[in-house]
Amino acid sequence: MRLGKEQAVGYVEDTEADSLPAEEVMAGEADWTPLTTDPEPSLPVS
Amino acid sequence: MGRLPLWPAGPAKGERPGRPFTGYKLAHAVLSADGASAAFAGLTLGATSVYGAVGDACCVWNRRHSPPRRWCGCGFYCLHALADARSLACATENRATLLLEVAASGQYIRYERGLRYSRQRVRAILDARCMCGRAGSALADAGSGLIGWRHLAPVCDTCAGNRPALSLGEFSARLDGPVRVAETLPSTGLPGTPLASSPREVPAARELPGAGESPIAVLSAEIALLHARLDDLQSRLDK
Repeated sequence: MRLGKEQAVGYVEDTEADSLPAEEVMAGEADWTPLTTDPEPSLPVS
Repeated sequence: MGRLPLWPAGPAKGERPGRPFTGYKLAHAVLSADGASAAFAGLTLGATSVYGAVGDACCVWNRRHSPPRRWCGCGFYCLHALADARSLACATENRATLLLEVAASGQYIRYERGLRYSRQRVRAILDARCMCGRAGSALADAGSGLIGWRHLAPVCDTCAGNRPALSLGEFSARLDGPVRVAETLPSTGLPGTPLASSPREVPAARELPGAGESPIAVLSAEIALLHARLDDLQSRLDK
């Protein structure tokens, strides 16, 4: 991946990591379910 | 006479931003051999390295230094602009990838178009494109992989058929941290390409030009022919 000319070096903390909402983790359903058997395909939204 | 500026200026050193960078990158989806865990794999340098929702980079050539080292290619990579990442996804070798939004942190080297950095948290899966051009709604076995991990490729509902597949939500749930899945995946811009990916919103009649005939279209044509024959038979009976 070509990123171009170097501009700066530095360090940054991931300050957002501690404030993540837990409900974004979704529970899984059956493993490897054929899509055609599911009338409402679960395209998750969060 | 004014003082001449120092030249070359060189990169700025010691930046300390207050928030992690938002970046965009492509990755292969992978599923563990037992199907219990999901993760991502890189494209080129990191193609054999599997990482989760949160990860620390390590150099594949020299474990004695910490990424990103200036004269080494190690570390996570991301692009600043979503459009650049989507452009990258057009390349043949990148078609079966996921487009991710990440929070890039730790030690970093900032470039014109992106970052090389040491710590990454995947925030969201933004794009998953089926090879047919529709938005992918699930991930199916790509037929390749690494030891312990199967590569998965995005598929739409139509192309998935009866193949075993994992919805994007089910894939996300198997990751080792919360990763959002984008609500609406963008179209390719091709005429007739549906935006949505559910069967209700992807009518078979909206096939891409030149694509194979869908079963519904064939059935519709046969029903129309049957109606025409019945009308013809009825008119003969009337006579």
